[in-house]
Amino acid sequence: MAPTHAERSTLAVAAGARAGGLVLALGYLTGLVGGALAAAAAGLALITFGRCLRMDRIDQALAAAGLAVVAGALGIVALRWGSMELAELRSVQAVLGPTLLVGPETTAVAVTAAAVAATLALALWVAALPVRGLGAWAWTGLETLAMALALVTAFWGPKVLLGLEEVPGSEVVDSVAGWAAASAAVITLGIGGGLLARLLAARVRVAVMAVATLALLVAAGLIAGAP
Amino acid sequence: MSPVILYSVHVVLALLLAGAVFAPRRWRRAILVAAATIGSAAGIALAVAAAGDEAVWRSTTLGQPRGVIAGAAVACAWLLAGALGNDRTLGSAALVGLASSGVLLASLNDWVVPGLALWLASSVALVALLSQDELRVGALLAIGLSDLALVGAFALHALDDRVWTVPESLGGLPLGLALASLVVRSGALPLTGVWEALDSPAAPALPLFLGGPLALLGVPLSAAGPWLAVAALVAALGLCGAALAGRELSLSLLGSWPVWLSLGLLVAAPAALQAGALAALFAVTMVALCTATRGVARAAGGLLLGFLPPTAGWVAIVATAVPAFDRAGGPSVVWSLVAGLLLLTVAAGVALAARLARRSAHNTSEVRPTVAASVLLIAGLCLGLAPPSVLGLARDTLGDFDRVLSLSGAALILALVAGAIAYRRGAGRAGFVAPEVEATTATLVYSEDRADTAVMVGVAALIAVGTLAVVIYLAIEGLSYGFLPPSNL
Repeated sequence: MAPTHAERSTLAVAAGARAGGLVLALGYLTGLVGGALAAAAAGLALITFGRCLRMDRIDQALAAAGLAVVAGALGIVALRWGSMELAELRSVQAVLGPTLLVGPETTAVAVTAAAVAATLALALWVAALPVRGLGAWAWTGLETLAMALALVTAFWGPKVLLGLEEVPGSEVVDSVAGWAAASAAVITLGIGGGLLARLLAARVRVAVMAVATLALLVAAGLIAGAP
Repeated sequence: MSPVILYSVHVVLALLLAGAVFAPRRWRRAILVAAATIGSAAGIALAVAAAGDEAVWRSTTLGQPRGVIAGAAVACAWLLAGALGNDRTLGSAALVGLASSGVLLASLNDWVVPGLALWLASSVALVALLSQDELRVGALLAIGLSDLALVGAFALHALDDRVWTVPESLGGLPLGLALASLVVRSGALPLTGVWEALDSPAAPALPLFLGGPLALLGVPLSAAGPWLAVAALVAALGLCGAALAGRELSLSLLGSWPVWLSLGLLVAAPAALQAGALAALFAVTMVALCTATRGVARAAGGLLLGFLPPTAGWVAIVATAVPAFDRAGGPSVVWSLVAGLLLLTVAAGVALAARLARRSAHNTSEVRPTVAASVLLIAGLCLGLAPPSVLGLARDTLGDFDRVLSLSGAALILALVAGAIAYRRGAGRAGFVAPEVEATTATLVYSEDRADTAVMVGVAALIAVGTLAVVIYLAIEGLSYGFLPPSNL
């Protein structure tokens, strides 16, 4: 049976939200537009909204929880550096190194726990919407890229040195390659984990999301208690 | 345009509508739609005028943020009156006009006594509106209690300091009473009180119930401290969880979410008052329209309810999140909680929006509510894409505005293209069934079986008499001092 007008409308809004969200997220995360991490999360929220329109109740809850954990992990990084500005997060990592590796030890452990929780949540977020067909895979790949860029920006990524005259070409290539490799690693974990998670029963996926949430809360506690 | 015209046009429309009750039946709907359109336009014009330079008329000052919020509330009320009304609801629409003028004059008043007197006058019109078709006792009690608390708060503040102007800040008991007044009247209490108006001829009162208190009390309450913001955000998330947990989507439960969220936002970041209030007004209006909308408007309505980008609600969330994170780095436990809760509200908004968008289509879906929902959505998007300075925020709240605008424009165009393609392709795609959710507007209503209506009405009347007595006492006290502050005596 062909979809009704209402179902086609839902399809249209879902596609529109996902496309619009992708543009917003990539615009902020690639540095085309400067702004706060919260503004970049706008795109991720819209993408998740669009995906949720095509899910059943449990998957919808998992997708929203996945967004919450990823956003929470980004928030922990913002708390760690005392800033929500994307440019400041990139700058501070350019000087001190990736957030994951900068001490003190308790803080590094907390940030690592948040990164692990966010990666788990990303895999479950991907798994929430079954993917069928090349077009759907392309969308999912792009959406996972947006999520991955957000995590890489927060946990790993210094400035990409494009467009700076005084920087040697080799350093530019290094910085871009580093970003690409880190993003590819997160995408692989996200989509690979998502495919694996799809094989699990919904109850197990809910349990894994609960573990990710717990890890995030522990990380938040450690960051709050850090000097 | 002179403020007096913007205030009084609603009374004129009310008189016209009252007269039109005797018009031939075939003309009535057209008259209603025309009056509602003019009323909405007048509300928008007032909000726009308030966003500019301040204009003083008698004891009122038309300016930000009160004028913008009150004007938007009136515009939303008229929008509902036109969208949900029919040839038998001209009387209800006339009461919307009376209540609108009352709310405007009260919430924009600089002086306590005339402000409260006009507030009570608008409450009388709202009570009459709530009594259309049937007596909604819970809503009547909510108005009575809320007015008593408001009058108590303002009276205590005025009598303590002999200050006769509307307070810009409150503390102690007056603050608690003002908060109670806002919570009871604005629909923050789910499933009860003013939510009895949902899906009834009294539905246009809902934006006035929310917008009036937000305009009048938003500024004094914004100094209440971050713990109140934490409590409000927790309440919003709790309501969201309850709405998502139910198999049916309870609109009278869902409607309280934007109220608590906007309260949390305005307390955490007073600069976000205007954006948060407008977003809450749009969300509540969308909830009221919900049972009668269809198509894209129904699905996209979730954007407004969830405070999702790129609507005004999202701007309010970002404008609150940035200072909250800055202060959390202090370090501060309470601001860390606010920051964490704000992140949760983003995810909660997404889930709620998706749930609303998947609500089952109502059999009686009509064109007018759908058009009204579309208008509301466009207004929400326009405010979200406008320079944040329009909402009383810093221009770079979302980043460099020119670049943000270009990016948002590109996102919007791509979204429209993708949506159109998906709609066209959907026609030939068999097997896609959007999982749908049943919606209900049921409330915890007093009934003849469960409580004696006469007693409840009597209690409401007593509360009203008490409230009036306090205002009269306040007026007499004020007169005895010549409405002058102690320094002038």
